[in-house]
Amino acid sequence: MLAATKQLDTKAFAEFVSGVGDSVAGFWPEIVLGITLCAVLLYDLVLSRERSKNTAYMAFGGTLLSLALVFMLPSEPRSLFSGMLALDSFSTFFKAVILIGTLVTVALTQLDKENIGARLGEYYGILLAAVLGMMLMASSTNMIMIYLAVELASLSSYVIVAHRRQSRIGSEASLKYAIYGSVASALMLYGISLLFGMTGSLSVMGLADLGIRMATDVGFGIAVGLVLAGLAYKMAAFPMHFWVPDVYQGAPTAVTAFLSVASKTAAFAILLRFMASLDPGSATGIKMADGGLFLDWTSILAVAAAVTMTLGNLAALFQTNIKRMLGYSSIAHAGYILMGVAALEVSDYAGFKAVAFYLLVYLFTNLGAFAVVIVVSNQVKSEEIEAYKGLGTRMWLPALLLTIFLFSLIGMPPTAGFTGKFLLFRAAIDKGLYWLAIMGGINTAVSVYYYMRILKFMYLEDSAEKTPYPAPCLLGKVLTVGLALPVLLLFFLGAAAGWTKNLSLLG
Amino acid sequence: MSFYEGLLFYLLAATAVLPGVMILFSRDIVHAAFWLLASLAGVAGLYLYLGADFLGFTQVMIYIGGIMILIIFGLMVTHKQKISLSQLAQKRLLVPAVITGGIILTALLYVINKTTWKPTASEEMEPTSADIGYLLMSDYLLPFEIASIVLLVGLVGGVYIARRKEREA
Amino acid sequence: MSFLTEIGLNHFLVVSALMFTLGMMIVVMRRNAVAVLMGIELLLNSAALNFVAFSRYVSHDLNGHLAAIFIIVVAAAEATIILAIILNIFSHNHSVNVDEADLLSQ
Repeated sequence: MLAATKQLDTKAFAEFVSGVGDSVAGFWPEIVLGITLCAVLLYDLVLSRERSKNTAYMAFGGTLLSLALVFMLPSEPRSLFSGMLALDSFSTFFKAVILIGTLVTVALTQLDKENIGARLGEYYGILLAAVLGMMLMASSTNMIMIYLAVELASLSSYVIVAHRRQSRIGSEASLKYAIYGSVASALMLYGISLLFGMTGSLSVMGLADLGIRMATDVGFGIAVGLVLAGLAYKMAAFPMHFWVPDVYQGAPTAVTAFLSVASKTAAFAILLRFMASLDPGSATGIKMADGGLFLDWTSILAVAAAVTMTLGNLAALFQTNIKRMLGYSSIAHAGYILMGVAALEVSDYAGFKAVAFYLLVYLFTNLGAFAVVIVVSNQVKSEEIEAYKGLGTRMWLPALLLTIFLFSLIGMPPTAGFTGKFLLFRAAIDKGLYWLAIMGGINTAVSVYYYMRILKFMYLEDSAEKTPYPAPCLLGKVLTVGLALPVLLLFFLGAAAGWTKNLSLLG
Repeated sequence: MSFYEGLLFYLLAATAVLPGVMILFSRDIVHAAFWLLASLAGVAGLYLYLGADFLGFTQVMIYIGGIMILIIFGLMVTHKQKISLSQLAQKRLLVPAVITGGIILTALLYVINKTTWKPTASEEMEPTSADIGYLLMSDYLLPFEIASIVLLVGLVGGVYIARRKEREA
Repeated sequence: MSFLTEIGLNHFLVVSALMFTLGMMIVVMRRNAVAVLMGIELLLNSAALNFVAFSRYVSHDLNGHLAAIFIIVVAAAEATIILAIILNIFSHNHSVNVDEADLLSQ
């Protein structure tokens, strides 16, 4: 490449331009999002003083258009922008999940206006930049592209976590999030640089033959381990989970909801693509020099899954703030989902579909739970679990919906959470990871306690006041009920299962 | 390779690495900032040594000229009162820091030693700027565009967070 | 003594490993947020140095250089945002020690 490019070759240039044209055809959702984010920032800068609601409409409309374009993407898998991105059903699915999460987040922000303030132009612009980064995470196949996408998503998240500048808790949360997040992405970057040295290429696909060639190489294991550590931060998985409770509590609730689903989904998308090219089903792994210890990726991921869910669930038992509790619960769920990643089998994408399905279910469930938290805190002015006393009679609809969401988080039938968890457990058992499935079972039993404690507060304990709160606003009702429907309705489960069944990766 | 080239490498390497030790232990945060300056300059020198001319100058202009100035500005603003690092906390953290450092260094040296990197005979060094420009406009077109959005987020986000009290009223 | 005079790939990798180690030690040990940011800069530089060294000795193309350029871009944006957050905290409690940011851990 070095010498050949000395003179600009007009023919090569014409080919390149048509190549870009082809790539753009598979890139419209991101382009629309990019234009919207610039438009929102400019509108806020130039025009708006009072009409701040318009930026919300713009962000919502842009995201909706982008989502529609995602569904219209050409279906045959191919590579875009000289191998930077993959256009396949896998990335399309994850982009759709992230965009649905964004639509809900924009609505949640409007719902949470009292806390979040009225002037939201920059907030929406930067939120959309985070979404753009996450969509690129879902489709990147080049390691530099992965790094840039992760950083775009992270930097934007740091900013929106810091949104409540006047709040001390919010500022401190954003400082911790930004500092440790930067360290995590630097770890990932160092791992990428080592992988670049081993393959001489930056393509994720190039790892496939490396995985076989260096199957027994400790250096390779360390490089991959560094990349996984960086991703674990975004997934909120062990050993990079410590930031979660503080940030979840300190950030505005709408942002917390966004991070808990979109950020996690995007990180799992990269993890799946990455592990699929390493092929954990084969005997790839770390072998110590003396040959005694052999750790394959399946066992490493399985241990990470077990530790993550146990830590999350144990800490959640003792929480008094509901956002903090949901934070620990989000760590636990990262553990359950990792169980599916550990069961990854490249030949038939088993495990893979379970993860995709669970992420879709978790999207609706967790956003729903946070929506109820916002609706309740708008009336009760508190996020403490104590404040939920007697809510069953004082705010019957939010209390009922929260019950549904918590049942789905536990994984009880007939909610979607049950089906999702069932698929994850079955994937682990099919893979022969019996001990992991048992760990998951024990953890689920433990988690029943802290979810049920909220139900106990809502329905069995009385507060001093008995008068019902006024009914939630229309947006609150529509949002919470709308999120509860997919969690309950069986036809949705069928549609989601059909969708995830056909996912495949660009190979 | 001549003796002097080897010597030059060790000088540059020392300039890049030793300031790290000084940052680790310096009491005065402003001194630490100037040590970081030295370290970044050492890295720029190593880039030039590796034949990365464009990158070496970029490092000087963006890192030393931009990012370092930013950090020093940040220090000037937050330095109004002396921010003394609590002596006790630092001593308490020395042991974990040394353990972390030991583990990481051992692991990385192990990786460097055991991995077969397949280095091939190096070619003549050539100026890189033109080819980098060409790559940015061809293979790396998308990352180039995304980098502009990253910078936009940095710009808007920085102003947005640091802005003094709301215009809300 | 050829190791001392024949400068090759491993020399650069060792320099980078040392910088990475020092950066991590700074992150673990220093409590001042600006000092931790300096540690992060060392981490990023060590990775960029790796990329450039591999570009020169292994892949013989400019991919590593491009990677380093993007790292510098990201580092600029990252430093801006972290410093803005630090300034914001400073206006709250006039201290930038990571440990003193402890309202949350109570």
